[in-house]
Amino acid sequence: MKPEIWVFIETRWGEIMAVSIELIGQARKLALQNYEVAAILTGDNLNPFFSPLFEAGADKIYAFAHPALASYRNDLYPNLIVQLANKYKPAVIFVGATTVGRDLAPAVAALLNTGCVADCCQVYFDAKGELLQIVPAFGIHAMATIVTPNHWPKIATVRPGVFPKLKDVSRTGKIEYLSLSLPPERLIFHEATRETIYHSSLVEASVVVAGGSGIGSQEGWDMLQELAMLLHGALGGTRPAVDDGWIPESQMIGQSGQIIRPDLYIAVGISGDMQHMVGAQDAKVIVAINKDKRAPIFQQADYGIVGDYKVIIPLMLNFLKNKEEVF
Amino acid sequence: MPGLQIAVCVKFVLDPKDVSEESIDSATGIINRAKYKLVINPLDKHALFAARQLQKVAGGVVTAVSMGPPSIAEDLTEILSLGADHAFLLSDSLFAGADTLATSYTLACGIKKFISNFDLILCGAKSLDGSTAQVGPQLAIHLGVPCVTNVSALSWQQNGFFNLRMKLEDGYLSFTVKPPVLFTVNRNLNTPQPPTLMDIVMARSKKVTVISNQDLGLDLNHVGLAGSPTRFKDMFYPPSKRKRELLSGLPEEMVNTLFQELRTKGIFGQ
Ligand SMILES: Cc1cc2nc3c(=O)[nH]c(=O)nc-3n(C[C@H](O)[C@H](O)[C@H](O)COP(=O)(O)OP(=O)(O)OC[C@H]3O[C@@H](n4cnc5c(N)ncnc54)[C@H](O)[C@@H]3O)c2cc1C
Ligand SMILES: Nc1ncnc2c1ncn2[C@@H]1O[C@H](COP(=O)(O)O)[C@@H](O)[C@H]1O
Repeated sequence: MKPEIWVFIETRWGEIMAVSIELIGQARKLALQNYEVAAILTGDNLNPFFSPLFEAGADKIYAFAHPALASYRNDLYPNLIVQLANKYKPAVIFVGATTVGRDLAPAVAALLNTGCVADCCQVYFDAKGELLQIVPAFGIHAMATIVTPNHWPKIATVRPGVFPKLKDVSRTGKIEYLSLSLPPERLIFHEATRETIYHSSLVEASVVVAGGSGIGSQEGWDMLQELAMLLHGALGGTRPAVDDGWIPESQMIGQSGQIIRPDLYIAVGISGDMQHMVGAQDAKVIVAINKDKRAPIFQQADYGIVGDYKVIIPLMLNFLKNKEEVF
Repeated sequence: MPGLQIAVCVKFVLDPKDVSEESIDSATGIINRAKYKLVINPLDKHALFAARQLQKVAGGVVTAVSMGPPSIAEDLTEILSLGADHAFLLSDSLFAGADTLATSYTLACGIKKFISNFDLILCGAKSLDGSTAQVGPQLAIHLGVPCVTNVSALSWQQNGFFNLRMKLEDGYLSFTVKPPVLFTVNRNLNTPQPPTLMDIVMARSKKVTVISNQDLGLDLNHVGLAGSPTRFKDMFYPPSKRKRELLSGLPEEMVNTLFQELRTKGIFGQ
């Protein structure tokens, strides 16, 4: 039997989370002929998820259904994954780096006395078959490679959005229904409440105009809003812009806010702090407007304009209004 | 009812202002914490504040626990002024280089040994420099208690249960749980207040206890670098894909050049 690469499948609100599908695809690519890819699926109603998982690259599904598993809970899920791991001995377990995944994966690792690498943005095997887990280094524009050389299994949480989804509708596979014993329930679950996410405009926009603490006035923010409108884009900002009440929290870009990938990102009055920039670094083109020519943002931008936004933005608005037919 | 025995785990981290390429040792990947003035991990202040508020309604004792270099012993008074009644610093060169598994194991052993009958352990949801968000959930495993991470709302009920919410990206889960339990908290939970003059004065009479492995007697295979299953392999700088081009000329000229460049890049789809 081939060793297995496992992907924990997170479902929410009756759907599979995108990152789980992405990870199945990446696991399939890494597996080649050497491994089998197994999807670990727990919940209360699993049938709708089987074919999407096979189509995404799973060779096998381990399925365990129980009404108590309708949504994630720390007193049950890690314990079940550990029971399963002890029985089938996977080589690797990948988990999406969502709030849920980042609760589950370290707990599983601690129960199995192994390592868990958090928040990877790349995972692959090197020539010797060692799993390389790449994480951003703290606060600087460097990456670190982390390995788990002597412990079993290797566990990593991987960021959403780094791997493409695969889809092959002709694929099918084996479903293994499990009988596990539910551990004693220690949390009393009340409800799972879905909240409308307002950030979709930001995440889906192909142009994002963002302001920082350098804006500081209603007129300034009105100008940025107009620029965003003329570019058919969305308006976002930094932590200070949220803290000072200029934009809602849902529009914050960065480590603790939204991760965006627009074609064009225009940063205005933003210094370029790493906690902010991790949210925008995947933009195709970055434009920075800042009055301080030493601002770190210029090192991270494609085009920089050194100047006061109060001068530059009106010129941009003018340009767009007069040349509207061109764009 | 003797009130709640609360332990708050506080990590001292590098001030983001001090972060540069020199602050990480590129051979070991270890942050050179000894060289810098460390600060309380911002989310841990939310945890301390939550503990203080719970203590107001439920009574009891708040104990802070931190693992870190001996140099932070004096900084622990800040924790005391933020509401902890007593602080433990777990500090030993044997603990250095710990990953989250070894860190959480060490913290768990310290808590078990020095805080009897704890009801609640509070951690930040994640730390600024490690930012793994793993120590909380792993500590809960070592202590054998259930855990809820990323808590954004929390209250203590007269019937002896906590009501709380775990914040997700697009909603939340709500739970009730009775002690002992561990929560990791996020910034939406509360707005920590700076210490008053009174708090600062009171902090001087509170105690910081420094604990080494002589006091704990932990198996060296479970602490520090030796107890860490994950290993740093190397560090590399992905080539900047940015052009870093500063436009020149009068403001009008810069704006015109910018739009021309964007157009040739096909950003506006024509
Ligand atoms: C745990 C943690 C998580 C964080 N998460 C995030 C996050 O997710 N997102 C985030 O954004 N931040 C986050 N931060 C905050 C982050 O570290 C920075 O403090 C923040 O991004 C800086 O915002 P800023 O660039 O708007 O402000 P500043 O750094 O103050 O920069 C303002 C800039 O505006 C320029 N300026 C001023 N006036 C003008 C003018 N008239 N015209 C042109 N330019 C002008 C100045 O030269 C300066 O460069 C986090 C911090 C912590 C500790
Ligand atoms: N060395 C430490 N000492 C005390 N608490 C810690 C330590 N490391 C992590 N923690 C706690 O665990 C939380 C999450 O840290 P991390 O897993 O590093 O993101 C922190 O907010 C602290 O509450």
